[in-house]
Amino acid sequence: MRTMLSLVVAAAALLGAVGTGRAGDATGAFAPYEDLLEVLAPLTWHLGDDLYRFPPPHDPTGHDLFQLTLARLEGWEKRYPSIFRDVTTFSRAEAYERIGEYQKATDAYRQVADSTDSPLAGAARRHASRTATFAAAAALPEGDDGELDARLQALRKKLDAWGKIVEQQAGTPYQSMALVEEERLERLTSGLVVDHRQLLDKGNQTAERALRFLIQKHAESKNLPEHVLRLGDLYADLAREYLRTHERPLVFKEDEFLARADRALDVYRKVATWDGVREKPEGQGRFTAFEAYKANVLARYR
Amino acid sequence: MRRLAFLALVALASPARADSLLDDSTRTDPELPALVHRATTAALLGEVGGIDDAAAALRAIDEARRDRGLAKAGVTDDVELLAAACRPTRDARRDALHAVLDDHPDPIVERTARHALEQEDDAAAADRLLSDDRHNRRATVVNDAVRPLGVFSGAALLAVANPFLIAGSALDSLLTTAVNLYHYNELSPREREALVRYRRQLARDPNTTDAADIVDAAREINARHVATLCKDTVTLATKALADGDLDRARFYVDSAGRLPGCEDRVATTRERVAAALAAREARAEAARWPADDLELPSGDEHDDYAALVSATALGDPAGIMAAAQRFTQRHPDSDNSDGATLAVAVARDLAGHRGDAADALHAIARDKSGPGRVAAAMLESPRYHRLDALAAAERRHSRDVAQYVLVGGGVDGRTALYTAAQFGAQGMQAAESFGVFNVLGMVSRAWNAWRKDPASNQAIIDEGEQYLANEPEGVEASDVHERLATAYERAGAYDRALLHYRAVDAPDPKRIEKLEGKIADQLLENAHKAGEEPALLAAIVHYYPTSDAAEKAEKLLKDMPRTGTLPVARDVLVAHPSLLGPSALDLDPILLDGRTDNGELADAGVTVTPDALVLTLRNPDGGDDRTERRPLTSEKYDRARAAAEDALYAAALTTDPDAKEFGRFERYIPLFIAGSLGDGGVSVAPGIKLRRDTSPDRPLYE
Repeated sequence: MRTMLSLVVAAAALLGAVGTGRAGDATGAFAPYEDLLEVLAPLTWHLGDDLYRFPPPHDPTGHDLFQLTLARLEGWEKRYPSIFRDVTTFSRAEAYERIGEYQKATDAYRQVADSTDSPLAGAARRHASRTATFAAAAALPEGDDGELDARLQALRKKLDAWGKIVEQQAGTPYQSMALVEEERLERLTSGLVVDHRQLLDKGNQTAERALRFLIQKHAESKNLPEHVLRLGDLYADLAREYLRTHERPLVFKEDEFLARADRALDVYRKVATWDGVREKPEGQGRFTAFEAYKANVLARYR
Repeated sequence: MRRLAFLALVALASPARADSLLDDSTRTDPELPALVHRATTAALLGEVGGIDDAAAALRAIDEARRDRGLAKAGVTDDVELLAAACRPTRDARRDALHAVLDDHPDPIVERTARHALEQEDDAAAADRLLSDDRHNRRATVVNDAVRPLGVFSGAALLAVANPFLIAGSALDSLLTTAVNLYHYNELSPREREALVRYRRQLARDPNTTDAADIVDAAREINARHVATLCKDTVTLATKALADGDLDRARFYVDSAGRLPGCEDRVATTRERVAAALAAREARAEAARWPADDLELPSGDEHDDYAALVSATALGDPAGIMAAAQRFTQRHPDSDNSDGATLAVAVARDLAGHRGDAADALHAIARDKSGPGRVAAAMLESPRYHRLDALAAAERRHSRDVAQYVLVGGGVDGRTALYTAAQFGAQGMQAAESFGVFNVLGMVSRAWNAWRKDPASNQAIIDEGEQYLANEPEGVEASDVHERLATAYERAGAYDRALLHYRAVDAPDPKRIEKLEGKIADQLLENAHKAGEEPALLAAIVHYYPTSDAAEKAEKLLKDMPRTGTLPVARDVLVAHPSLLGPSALDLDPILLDGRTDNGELADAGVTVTPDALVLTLRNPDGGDDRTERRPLTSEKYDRARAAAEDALYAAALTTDPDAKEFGRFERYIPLFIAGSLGDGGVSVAPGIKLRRDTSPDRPLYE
């Protein structure tokens, strides 16, 4: 995690964004407390963020706030190892939780829970109990090395576990973290179906259904444009597959190719004209590339 | 004064020592750490009341310290920022942030609070975007109206003597204003960003008191956004139709048809596209059949003609030639003799004699027969064009460059307007003043053209590449490679230029070296843009070692901090005195007291490395700086590095990257006067300053 702060500092230095700067205004021995408050204020600001619907927060220099907070807290602990340990450990746990490191979060919460004289101990115990459940679900295997069926089965089991957590955490700020995990697994599952659609019965329709399910279920997610792009990719692949299987001029039917190609272009254009989303340039690029491909194919067969 | 500053530095840098004035003052407020602890735990538990209590107690401490003549503790603003972060609603958070900023907090708190207001309060940011947008629209209308009147070029200077001369400027001003007003309500990127941010605000915090206003504003922009999307899609369809790209046109027409409320707008274009598609289909259908009715010869001619057709179908050059010669000798006056000549051309081409084939084609190309039309079409094809198209593209390019230098970027409505007005005022006398003052513009354009090619080289490149694709080993291939190298070089694509120049039969090593130098310069520029990317710098050194850029790249690589090392400049140490303390770099403050006789850090400051702290010290004798290494244990290195990184991060946080672009009082002056020596000669015009677009995500709204 130290590398994060090093990267930020190095990037700022290289871009000439580090002047001499000005420090805080704390007097003498109060400076360490001021340093700590400067780290905690932005973190506290974002503890209630809905990380499923909105992108993770960034600091004023444009870097991931949670990772930066972890790096700065670790640095502060190195300099002042004996003071405010409960506060820094609890804060690190909060940050770990928000970047999906549930086991590390649990360990940190438990450390605070053990320090009975800390006002944070009670909350740490409650949080540790929750993050332990999250960590247990996160530790379930995803069948990375197995066959398709085994992988799908493993993912289904893990999805069930996260589904229960989503229900349990309904109405709390922590549901969004569970939804992030659920979405990730469903994206993985649909990706597997798309990648292996040739092996499945009615594979193309199943793959399309899987991606459409992802889009509909996670319509509120920050990753929605990415899911839409993946549907466009599937349609683009289907158009290419059509060409591969109908390469000879007399079997190539322009209308059938156009229907497939335009469906992909239509989906890409949705993202290409979607204001404010990170995937917009990607959508524009894919639209342009696929449009050129379409024009090229049509020119070849006319 | 310097002594006082030094004392303060010593005190700030030595929190663990009890003999300083400030440490003494610190000792008088032992409850402060407990208050900070209470505030931070309350913040982590979400107890706003606890933080408020702590903040109130800290404010009381600051008051008491002030009464005792001491500086404030300096953490109250940080706790208040913490308290603002914990407010439950957007409105409360915004009010609390404004309160923090009103209290003149330290630079870090100020930057954090402003960032929170600008980036995280979407509705406030959207309001600001719209306000800036309105300002810029008005300013643009005013500036564009004033600019033509403020142009002083040639005879326009004499407008005082002859008011008729400013007629052209006045008309230009009026027309520009009319055009600007016509486009005044078009959706801007700022408005599009505002719409996204309003929506995000409502999604995040629908209970804000501004919700009703936000909904109204978002609805209004959204309606225009939908209309703009429709208009843009129809425009794309129309343009594709005009370019003859019917597949694109059809796609955009269908796409527009699916947009809400766009069906009526696209209806006309849809009909035109449908008609064009029908016409294309009709043409394609017609092309599948011969243009002339088939009239078979009779008798002996029939047999010879059939033999010629069979030989041509078999594609054997010798067989075709024999059959064609037999046909021509036996039936010199036949109506099908053009067909026989066409067959001869095909046979010669198949045998590799393209020049002779072209002669045969030329012989019948003007005939109004089916074979004559085919011959003409074949001669028009790239196969028989050879380098004509390339030469034509080069001529067009030279003409474009000359036109740019002599008359600028083309005669547009504005230059025509001024010319007409001045001729109207002065008759032929105007020509003299045009001549004198246009020389300035011409010299400027010639200079620009010399530095950067003003005309496109794309046509030359397309023709050359197409030739090489068809005839990579042709006799003119070397010549084409050289001409392509020149075109690519003019276009600034030095890597492509080098690639082609190396394929020339006898390349000049000096030109290769020159091109390599240009590639290296380009790579170095890219490396600068990518924040001194080491991989690019290393590539320059490796592949272009003799270039000037390689020398610069080598120096940059040498100066680059190695893994695990962290340089901290003297200025940073002065601005962050806590870095000198034992929990950080553990340096004696006398190193910054300005006296070289007791050791003084140079501008380079110190470098934290895994095994030592390297101090760069000024040489008391006035020579080069000297270095001193102080060994670091692993624990000390971790502490020193953590402290240095935190200070550098704080420096990055509080350094305004745009600060250098503004003069001291510039931000308070709302007007500017711009003068330029451009294509149109000398121009001086006042204007209202536009508000800069500082959104980091601008491309996402265009």
